[in-house]
Amino acid sequence: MRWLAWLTSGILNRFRRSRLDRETRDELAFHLASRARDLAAGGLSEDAAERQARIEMGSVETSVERVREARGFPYADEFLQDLRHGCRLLAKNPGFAAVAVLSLGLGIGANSAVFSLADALLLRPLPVRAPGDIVSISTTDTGQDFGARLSYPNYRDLRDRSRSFDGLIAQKLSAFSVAPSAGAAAQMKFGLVVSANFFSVLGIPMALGRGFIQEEERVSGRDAVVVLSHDLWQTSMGGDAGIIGSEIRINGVPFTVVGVTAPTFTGMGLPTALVRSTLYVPLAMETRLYPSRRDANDDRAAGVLAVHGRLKAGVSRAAALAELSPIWSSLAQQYPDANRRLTIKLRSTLEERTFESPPIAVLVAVLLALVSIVLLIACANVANLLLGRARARSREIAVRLALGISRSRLLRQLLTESLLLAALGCAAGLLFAYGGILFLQRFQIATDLPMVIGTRLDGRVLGFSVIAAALSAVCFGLVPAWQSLKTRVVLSLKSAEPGATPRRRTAGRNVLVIAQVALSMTLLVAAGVLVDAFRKALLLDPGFRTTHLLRMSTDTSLAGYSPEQTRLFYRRLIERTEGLPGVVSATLTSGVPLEGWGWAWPMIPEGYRFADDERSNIIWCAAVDEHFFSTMKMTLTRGRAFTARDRVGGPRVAIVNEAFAARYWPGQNPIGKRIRVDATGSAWLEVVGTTATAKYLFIGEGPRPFFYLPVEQSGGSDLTLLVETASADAGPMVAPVRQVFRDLDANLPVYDAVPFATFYRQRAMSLPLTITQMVGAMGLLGLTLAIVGLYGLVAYSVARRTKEIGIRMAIGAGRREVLAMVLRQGLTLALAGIACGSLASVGVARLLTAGLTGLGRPSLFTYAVVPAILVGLTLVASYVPARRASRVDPLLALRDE
Amino acid sequence: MAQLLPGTLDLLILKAVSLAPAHGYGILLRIAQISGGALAIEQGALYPALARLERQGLLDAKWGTSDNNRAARFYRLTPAGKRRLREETDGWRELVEAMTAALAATPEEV
Repeated sequence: MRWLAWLTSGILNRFRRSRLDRETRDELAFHLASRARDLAAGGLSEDAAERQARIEMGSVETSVERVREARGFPYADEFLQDLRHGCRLLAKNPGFAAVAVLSLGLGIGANSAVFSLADALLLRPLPVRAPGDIVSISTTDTGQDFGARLSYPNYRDLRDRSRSFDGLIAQKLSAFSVAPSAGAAAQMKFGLVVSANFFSVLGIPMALGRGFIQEEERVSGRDAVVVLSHDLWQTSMGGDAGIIGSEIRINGVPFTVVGVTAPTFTGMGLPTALVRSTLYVPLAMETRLYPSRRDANDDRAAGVLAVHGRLKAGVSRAAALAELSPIWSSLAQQYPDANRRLTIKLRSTLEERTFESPPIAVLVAVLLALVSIVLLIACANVANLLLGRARARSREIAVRLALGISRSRLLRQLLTESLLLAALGCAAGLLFAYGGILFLQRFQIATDLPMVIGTRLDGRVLGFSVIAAALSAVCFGLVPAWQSLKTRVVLSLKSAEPGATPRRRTAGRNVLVIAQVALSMTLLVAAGVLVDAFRKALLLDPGFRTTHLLRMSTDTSLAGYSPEQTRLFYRRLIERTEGLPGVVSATLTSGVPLEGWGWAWPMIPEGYRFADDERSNIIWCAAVDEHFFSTMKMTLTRGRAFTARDRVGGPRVAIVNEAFAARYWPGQNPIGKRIRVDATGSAWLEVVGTTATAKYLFIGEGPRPFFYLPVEQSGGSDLTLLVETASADAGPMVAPVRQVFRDLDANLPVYDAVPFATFYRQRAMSLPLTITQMVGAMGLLGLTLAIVGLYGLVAYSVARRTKEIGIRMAIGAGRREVLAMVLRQGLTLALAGIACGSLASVGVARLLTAGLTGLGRPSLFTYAVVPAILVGLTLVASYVPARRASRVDPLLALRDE
Repeated sequence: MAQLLPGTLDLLILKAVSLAPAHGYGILLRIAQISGGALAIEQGALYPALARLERQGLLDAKWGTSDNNRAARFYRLTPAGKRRLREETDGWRELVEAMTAALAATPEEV
């Protein structure tokens, strides 16, 4: 506790400083008097004794100051003093302060805004207790990097046999039809089906009631209990505090509400961090909720559960994996059919998110890299400004050094000034970041899935901004530090042109400006390549109809339909919809193009030789009915479309796309070939047709092998109705089509009912557009900062060369020559920057387009336009000082000395 | 006069104060006296050192009256100061013994 006393006495001393100082003076006076008396007693005269005592004592003020320092905190007073000095310097130089703080603010603000996006998409820890201890446990198909989830029996065995975890939890995202009471209309909600230990193991804070208890997982279908999310409780239940114990209907089954989660918990963020969960039901209730589905809890091959474990204290991920691996091996031996091809994997939350959605990880990395370039340019700007101020400063520094200040003390002073700038920049940056975050929050996703891009200005963004500011301070603070260390006192004090020679002095600034131009060129090329790519995406034919169309989805298993009832329902749905006035045709599909998810199965194309460790490839597919290709205006290239005869009991058939045919049967006729799912006892499907390759998951993808199944042979219950309307705007038809659903079964929830054009615009366009805007803004920001830097340097050198220019003009140089000379200086800098930048940008552009193979090669347009823009702006920026230079009056300039 | 080794000033002050409470000037005289005039303390360093020791809770200071009836600030050791003096004295002895042994070494002992 002694440090506490030390701390408090330090703080108290600060407040009684004047009294303490007085005491110190009294004490020193006593010392002097005593010493003088002793000296006088030794035979000196009184005057001589007093003088001698004073000489021995040295400066009283210095002693008082040093005593005061010993009573306070080391460096604290000094720091405050430097801070005041720094503020005075900035106030004296408002132009410098404004440009420096604005540069830093823009740089830091852009970084913070992008960080908040990265945080929302990828980095933010799970909203659970000690999120760092949570690892994801999944299996990987041998030879393929396709993450498989675990089946319930596998989960149960791992949970019961492993010793490395404080519990293993299992969950899966599911759709529910939720009604607050028996009579009320059902709404489609997404929530999690979870193991009973979900709440206790994760340590989820509850707003009301409790989580599940282990007993509620024991008996299948017995405990109809539900935990609501704070959001659902507020929006659908009116935030009723007495909700605990009341009943709600889920898929028609009465459930008792036992708890409400705290608002901070929004689910486990799977498959992406954006998905929010609205309610939680125990795994054991699945059979009651979906009576028509096969009981997945008994099927060891049904890998549908996302499993997470909480590592015990002191157990590393490697140790946990080492413990799990032999357990898994024995499970694979025991159940070869289900487990043979799978190996077990442990991932951290970040690894899991990266793995679940690689495009997001790439996007985040690219954006962070680009925006850090902006900050670099901003730092170069500030460094440049500091160098420009060097002339005035080196005089001051030399004086201080001459007065005996130590170099380390001087360094501390300069560091404090850099920190002051950084702090102001950080404050400005937070304002800009707030604007950026507001912009990002506008971004919407067209789906009823509760997906929220949770960008926000929170403590993490704040922390990031402070770190960015501190790093910037180190970056640009090196300049004055280096400068102070090389200052030679005598030279600086003597010479009117202090410090190094003029040429040497601008060398550093030249390098900085060239680097700025190079960096902003890289940024602009990156922005150009992306804009170009997304412009193509906007114009690209996705390979299917996007207008005259509306979409509407439902899932018959939510109302407990049998397969037979499902088939009947959808047949009636098509019939009735096609009977509506204004409808041209209607079709059903299990997967809407560009929705970003769908079915993907391990497939074996007949006759294809896989690499040694592979038996099959994961291939995306969709189940569609006989009207799909014509309604969606997709081109059949060979063979036939599905027909009404492709039903249960008929021959099993499939249609593949051209990319599929080219990949697995190159140079052969795919019609009549067969494919099958890689599973024991699966049937062969005969290929009866091929379609042109379209876009399936996202607009920028390359040619992707894809195949279709007849919807009735697939047995899917979760289908989307696509309706072709007579008018281009399908909006007015949404209500009549919705009425068809209601007439057929009022209890069946309908979701994602929108004109397809809306969905397409938001799905295919909105994200690319937002990214384009972001990257474009970064490019502009970098460009502006670089041009400001360039202008500053040229203007500075004109100001410094006034005398030289005067002499040149006095001996006959014309205004045009002077103008050209200054412009040449700016241009040389820009060209050097462009030369360096073009090297860097080729690499960056190649990196960027690697993820967008489907958009073709980027045009060379960008490479031509960006340098032209840079040269043009350089000329403009140099012209202002050049004009000033050409107006120099030789007489005035020379007299000035 | 011998030069003070860095870090020994605090120890000397603690020792001087431990003999009897004293004011700053008295401490200066006492150190000169107990070291037989061999150790000189820079006067400018004494008062900051006293303030530092006081801040660390090793010394306690009170105003009192000096022999010649003037107000003077008297320092005395606190219990923590006594402990520190004991520790540092032991440490110093060990160092001196080790140094002495090392410096007394002869070629035969190696």
